[in-house]
Amino acid sequence: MIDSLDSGLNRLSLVRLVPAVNSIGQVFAAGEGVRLGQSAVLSTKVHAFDSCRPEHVQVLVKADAGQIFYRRPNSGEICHLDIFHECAQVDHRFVANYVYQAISKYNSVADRQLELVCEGIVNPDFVDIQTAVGGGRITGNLKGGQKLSLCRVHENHVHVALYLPPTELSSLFYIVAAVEAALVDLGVEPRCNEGIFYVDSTDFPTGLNPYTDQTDSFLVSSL
Amino acid sequence: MINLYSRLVWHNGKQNLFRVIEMSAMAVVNNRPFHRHTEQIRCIGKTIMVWVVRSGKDTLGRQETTRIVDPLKTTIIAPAKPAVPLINLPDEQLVTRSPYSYD
Repeated sequence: MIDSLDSGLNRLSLVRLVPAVNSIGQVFAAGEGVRLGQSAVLSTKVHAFDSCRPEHVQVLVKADAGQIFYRRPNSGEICHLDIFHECAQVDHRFVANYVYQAISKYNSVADRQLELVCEGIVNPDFVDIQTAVGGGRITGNLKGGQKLSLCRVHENHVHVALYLPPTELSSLFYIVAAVEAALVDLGVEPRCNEGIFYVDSTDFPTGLNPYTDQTDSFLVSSL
Repeated sequence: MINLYSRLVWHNGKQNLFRVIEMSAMAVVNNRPFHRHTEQIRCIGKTIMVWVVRSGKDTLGRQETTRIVDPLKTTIIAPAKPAVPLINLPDEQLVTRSPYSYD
């Protein structure tokens, strides 16, 4: 495993994460968003940001991420993470490798412990990524997400969408830590989110076409 | 947004700030960065004016609608403040439910 990632993840003991995980559960139940660390925004909704104030993320409360991104029938199933950084062409394959290794480590740690409800059953096949370079399923060929408009809008953040069993919310911290570690190792500075706002309705004057591309995601099919 | 903005109290002391805010709104519409710095005594309504005009938010941080634009016609910038990596944060800062930060 990558040394910088391994040493960082060793500091995130699952017991230490319990209060934070409980907060996330409350946030999901309320249909809200939350900041993880300083750079990441998490919700089950679609996010938007004002191009002039990218540090303020808008959570579109009536736009479920799973339904909008993957046309899934049920809402609230897909976790949506945006991890912000300085504008850069971030190699999605590099980040995907870090995320994959972090999930492997999480599954191993969670499987060994006996005190908590988590079982270490996060499936990396159900994790998608998108950066300004490209995207796709982290276990796939990562040749998707090449559309210019999609890449442009991801110049300042790494997008991660994933399906998690409800008992495995602790893994979100491993994933954020992995993305941040990858960014730092690439020489890209993570940047701070400074506000989350809730928006009731959305006007899509150009449609969602600029934000979509062909994908090999397994999140499209029913789980 | 226009509705809330028109309901603000206009008086001579705020005239310059109103003018600057309208200039910044025009700059945003034209995808031009426009930096503004306002200094005055507390509680005269500087921040309220900016809240209302910035994106239609009310004072609770909620807004009715947002507009999704074409990224190819928009300048993408990054948040300005560097983030402390999650692994270096104390436990109580791992999750922040309302990281609001107004002007």
